[in-house]
Amino acid sequence: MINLRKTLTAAGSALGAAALVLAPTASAIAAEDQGPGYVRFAHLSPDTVNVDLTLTALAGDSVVYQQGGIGYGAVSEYIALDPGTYAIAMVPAGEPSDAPAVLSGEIEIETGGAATVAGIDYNEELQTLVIDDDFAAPSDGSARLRVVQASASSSTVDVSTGEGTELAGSAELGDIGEYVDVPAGPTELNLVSDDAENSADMDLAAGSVHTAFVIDDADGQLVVVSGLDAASASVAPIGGVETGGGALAQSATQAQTAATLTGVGVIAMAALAAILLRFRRGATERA
Amino acid sequence: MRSTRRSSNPRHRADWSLTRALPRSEILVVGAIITLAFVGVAIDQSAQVSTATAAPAAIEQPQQGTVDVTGMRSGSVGAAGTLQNPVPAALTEPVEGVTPSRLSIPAIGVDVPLGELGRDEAGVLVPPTGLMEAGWYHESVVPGAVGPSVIAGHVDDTEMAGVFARLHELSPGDEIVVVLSDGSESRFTVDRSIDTAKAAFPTEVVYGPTRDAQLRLITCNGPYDFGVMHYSNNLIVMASGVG
Repeated sequence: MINLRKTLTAAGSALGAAALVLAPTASAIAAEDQGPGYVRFAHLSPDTVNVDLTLTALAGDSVVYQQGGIGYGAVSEYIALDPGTYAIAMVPAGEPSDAPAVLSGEIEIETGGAATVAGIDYNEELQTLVIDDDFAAPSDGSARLRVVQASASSSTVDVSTGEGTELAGSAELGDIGEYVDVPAGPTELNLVSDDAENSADMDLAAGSVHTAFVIDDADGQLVVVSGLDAASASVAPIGGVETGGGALAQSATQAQTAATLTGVGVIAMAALAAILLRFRRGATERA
Repeated sequence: MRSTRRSSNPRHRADWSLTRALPRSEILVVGAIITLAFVGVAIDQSAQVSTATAAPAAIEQPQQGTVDVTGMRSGSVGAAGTLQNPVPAALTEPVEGVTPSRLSIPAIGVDVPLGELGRDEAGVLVPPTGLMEAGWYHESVVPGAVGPSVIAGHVDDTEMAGVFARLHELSPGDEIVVVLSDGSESRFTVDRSIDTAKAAFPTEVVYGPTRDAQLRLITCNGPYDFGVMHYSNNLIVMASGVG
């Protein structure tokens, strides 16, 4: 049985220490000195209207990202942001960005970091769930999958794959499962709560990493919306690439050699000339 | 009667000869100069194995980063008054079966068709057959999809410059356009270049997981080893998707 890790679900109050730290073993995503960090947003509150998202860089007070009309069940792609601090504002669609917010706060981005900010639960109880999106790359030919329990109507949810791999056991609202390697390809998820049971189909490409958010549809059925956390080549070739025959190196070398030989020739000729001159002087003197 | 100049004019100096014309010490000096010159050329040639590009830079070590979220406020704003069905997932991935067909890099005058590349039995990437053709590694993602898309091309063959001969001229911000088989375009801008020894090829950086659409262009780079007839390095241009 896989135990789920309870994470931050503090409603309506500051999440003072929501530090999400990427492990040093993190993948290539972190392998840059000055690359971006990543954040994405999920609207998972079943009775909250569509929202408009605005991200504002505190430095310079400039809007860096805007997306309108984000509806229930939408999981955005990652937004790459330069390291820095940004204000988040989600307001009801069509309202000005400084209108009373459905969700607002600040986010500090560091190179290589990644997180999902999700609004969950019914509108009256709306909570912000901050999810650390660190992961290890799936092994060759596999995919990687985890479950986030965001069904507001369910007290607990169990999720397993058609092959029997358990992804969530007795997960409560806001619980975040661990990533699990699963075979690539079409995958069926069995979703079970106290009073509902359903299945969901996902297609998992080799080398891809997904989060399956369990939510409710309008009839109270459990459904899944998914986010693509990352993708890699399905199989990485071994080593580098042989893409040269040496012509450019050859011509560079030949040009260099010709120049050097010319220089040597000039020096040798000068030396010879000097010696001959001296010889001729000697001959003249003798004559 | 035919006679030699020597016999007809004994006073005239004999046919010119270096050994006779020069004192021994001067012969030695000239000989030494010429010998040194050729030794110099030989040394120079053996050392002269680089192309026009810069020396390899060290690959940066992975660095951990964080995303901190603070002061999140959420309130009962925007109540819909009813339970809703989830919106259909936005279709952001390329359609099944679509492949890249053309590569354009205006900054270095590249506009070529794209073939497909695979791996040989040993698992090594097979380079494009054509000198002026670039190839997309078909087990990397389709350009524009989330993940790394990998395109390789020749810097040269044994006689001529290749499609990626000027890849080293690219700088951050330069645009790369890949046309897909359905006519759509995926656009990227250059982030950085990595010059790496093939022996230390950064497989994880090139083929490993990414959060967004990435493109890597790979070619060969100096130093050229004339002994085994190949370049010692790979040049990798890293680019991020736009839009």
